[in-house]
Amino acid sequence: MRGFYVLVRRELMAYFLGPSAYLFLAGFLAVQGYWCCYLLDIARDPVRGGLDNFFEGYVSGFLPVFMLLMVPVITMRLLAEEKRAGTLETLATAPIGDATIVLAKFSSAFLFYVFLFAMTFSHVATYIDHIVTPTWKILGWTPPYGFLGAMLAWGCLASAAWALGRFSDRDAVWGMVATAAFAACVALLILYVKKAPEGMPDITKIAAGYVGALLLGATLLSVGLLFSALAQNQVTAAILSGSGLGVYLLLSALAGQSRAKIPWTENTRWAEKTWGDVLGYVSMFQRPQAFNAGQVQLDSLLLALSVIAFFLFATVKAVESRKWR
Amino acid sequence: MGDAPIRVEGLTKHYRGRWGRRVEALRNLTLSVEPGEIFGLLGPNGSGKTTTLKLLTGLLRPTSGRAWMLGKPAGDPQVRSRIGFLPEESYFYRFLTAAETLDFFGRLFGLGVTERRRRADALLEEFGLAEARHRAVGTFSKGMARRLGLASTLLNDPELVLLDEPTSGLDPMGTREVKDLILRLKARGKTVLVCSHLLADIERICDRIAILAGGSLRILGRVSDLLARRDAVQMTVRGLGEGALDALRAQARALGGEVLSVEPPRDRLEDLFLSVVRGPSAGGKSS
Repeated sequence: MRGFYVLVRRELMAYFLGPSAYLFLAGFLAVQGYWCCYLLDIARDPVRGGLDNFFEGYVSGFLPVFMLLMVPVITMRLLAEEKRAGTLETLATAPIGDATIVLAKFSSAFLFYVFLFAMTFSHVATYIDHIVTPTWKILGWTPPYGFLGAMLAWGCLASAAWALGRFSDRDAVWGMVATAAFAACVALLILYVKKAPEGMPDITKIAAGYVGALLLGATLLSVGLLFSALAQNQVTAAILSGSGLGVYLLLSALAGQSRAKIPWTENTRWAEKTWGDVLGYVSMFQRPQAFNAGQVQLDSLLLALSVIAFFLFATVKAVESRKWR
Repeated sequence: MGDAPIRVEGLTKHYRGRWGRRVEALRNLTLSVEPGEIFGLLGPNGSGKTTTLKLLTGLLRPTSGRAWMLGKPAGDPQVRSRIGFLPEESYFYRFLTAAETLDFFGRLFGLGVTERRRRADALLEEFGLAEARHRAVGTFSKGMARRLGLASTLLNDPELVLLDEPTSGLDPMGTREVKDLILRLKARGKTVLVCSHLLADIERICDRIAILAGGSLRILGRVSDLLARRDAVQMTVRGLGEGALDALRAQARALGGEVLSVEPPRDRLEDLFLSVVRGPSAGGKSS
């Protein structure tokens, strides 16, 4: 695990020390911000919308299209660049296994993705501030409920990240301080939700929506990582994973469209199913929507975890294959 | 043989070339490196030296044969924390500074923060990189990158050191420092395997050598045994005049010998270069 933490730390440094992460973050927040304003208009309109519409649309609205851009950009460099620069060979002579390298690359890409989504808490906060009825005042001052919640959520993430950094040095005291800070932030967040004023949206639905988005992201990042391991340079890796995800996006769009029956299933429980239904099970659109309805489904969770495990295993084998050339 | 730091038996490696053609890089190599010795692996380009090192460190898998390092099968990640490997080219993350690079590798080796900093400082000083410690590695010259490579190789205080062309890209001063370093490692009881095609570098420091050519082992033995000429003798004498030399020649012939050459001994070019460059007017270390 020692090597794992060190590599995750280095990868995150590589993301945040270059300008591309900030440019990408700015673009992501701009589009999500525009989407947030659009949904706020709908939410305010009693005819068109309601409370739930915002979160159903917000987390998954632009997500499929963003995935096409986001996943190749986040994953293309991870292994392809290490191979091109020769540093993968340097890592391979350090006391860490190939599986640790792959797992660390995946984890750092996922953490970066979590960071992107954590930034959108401010949009959720804006929405909450628009719709809640202030009931809890401190000396006549109405606390900005939404932003307070967003700050607490960011606090959770920041202290978790800090704890990760301290633990990599195996510095027990600082690790405990960071863990205590993380626990305090979580406790405050729970207290904040419990004390929520009238009109507060269902936090569990928001959380489930985010879990759905994160699961979808983790799944697609594992696919992107495999392409990065197979490609000779990061441009090829980006093109390969962009094309692969494009095909997946098209198939997802076809879910529910095809009415053709599946052959050879006459006497089985699949007899009534169509190809459209089958695509629906793995659709990029339908899975997150279920999460947005506030349900963390076990089958979706298992599907995502098994796909991630398969692609990470394939990536380890792709990295190992260089030894057999 | 049982506790030899490196043991290789029948190691063979075929690469897959274009159209599935097999290229034989190493054929049936068997050798062992004894504890505390400096072992030189020599050979021309493409003779299989680097392939041997890559097989030992687990960067490649053998087509057939087996290899052990420090008693474990070659490539075992646990053994890597006890060895230092300098590859033919030193590859680092370009945006990290020299100090950060050593810190990164120190973390991978599980060194505590105090120990990491102490060793990194000492190695940067030893390899003349102390002033460049806060410069990004991407701005380093080839020689500086090589020095940093050597520093990172020794960061974990390895029992066994594998060096592939360690003097590549270094100036004569750097080359001498590397040779002195290898001798210091031996004095500290370390085992060193050096790969090079620069014969003069190897001749003076190695206890034993193996010469590879065309992927197979051609000769293996102690340097002193392999290079000694049994049919001739060399004397270096100070303070003899021309007349005395003539008398010596005559005496040698009278005793049945054949005088092959009589000439003043020459300094080695490396020694001359170092004495000139390190003279009073020369600056400090450069890269």
